[in-house]
Amino acid sequence: MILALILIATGLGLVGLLIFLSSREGVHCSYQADPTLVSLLDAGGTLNSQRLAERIFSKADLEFILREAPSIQQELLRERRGIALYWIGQSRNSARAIMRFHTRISRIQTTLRPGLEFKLAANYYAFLAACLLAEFSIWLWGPSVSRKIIPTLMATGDRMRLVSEALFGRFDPVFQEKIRNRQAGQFHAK
Amino acid sequence: MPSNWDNAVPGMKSLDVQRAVRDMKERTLEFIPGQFARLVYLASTRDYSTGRYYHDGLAFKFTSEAAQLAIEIVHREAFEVLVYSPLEVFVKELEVFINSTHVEPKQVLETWKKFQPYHVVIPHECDSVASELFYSNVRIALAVLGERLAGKTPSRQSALQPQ
Repeated sequence: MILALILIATGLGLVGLLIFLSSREGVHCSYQADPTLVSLLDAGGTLNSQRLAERIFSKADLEFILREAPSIQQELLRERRGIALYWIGQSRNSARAIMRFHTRISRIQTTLRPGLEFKLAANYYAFLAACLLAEFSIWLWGPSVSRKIIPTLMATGDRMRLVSEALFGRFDPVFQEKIRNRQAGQFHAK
Repeated sequence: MPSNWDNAVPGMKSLDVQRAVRDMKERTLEFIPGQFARLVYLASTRDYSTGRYYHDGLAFKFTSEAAQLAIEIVHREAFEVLVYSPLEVFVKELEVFINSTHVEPKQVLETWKKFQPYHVVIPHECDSVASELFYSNVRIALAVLGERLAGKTPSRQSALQPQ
């Protein structure tokens, strides 16, 4: 009698699990049309703002000011420090947006790739650590001295972007095309 | 030109936009001295309330949608050229623009510092870091030109021409 009850309970549990999984598939379809997610994926482009970083941390600009108007050297350093910190903050926000989006997607995805998931998480935390280090350096020594850390920060951001793109590649091609079209139509400092 | 402009406005061909962009560059921007002046001109064709660009000549020759999109593209390009330029080039461009206004440079510098009109010359959809960098570069460039005008720079020479 007890065995029969256990079997019935297990059967009901499995049916419940099946219903739950099939309802998750349904959410997945409507989720792809969510415009806020499209904008979250767009944010990934900010991670690739190499040209901006080159300008913000430019040595040539500082040399020009030292040559042309040394009296405004401090003003330039103050301005660049503010923009450098803002740029790092924006990059970190983009990374967070990608992770939030990915977490939401993972909840409704039935096929997860543990290797890629781990890689994304590891790169995300490495990127956050690199951001923190760069911010600390900029606060302490200014943007011109902190220039050397930036390639590391950019490389970590690039790695994270590549992994997120690999995960993004699993989505519906129509959805991907829609996002690419949006990205091409927008000016992003890439 | 990316092919996805085809779908930017229903019924509009990317070829029209490409032609409108070329027309804008060859017939209008070509005659405006300096990148900064071009940026100011392109921003001036935009309605402050709607953010839409208007250019009667271009709209007459092509369509108003093609003209709108073409100016948007050219505006974005002009902004990118400036924002990614070294500070030295940026200062030179601003200097060319100030000289082209035919107004006393000191007055232009003071007005720009006070009212900050450069805030309205950036394209609508642009990266916030890029726009901050642009504002910062203008502030620095104004300071450099101010120093030059006051004769405080090491060279003690300025290309700014007092009227």
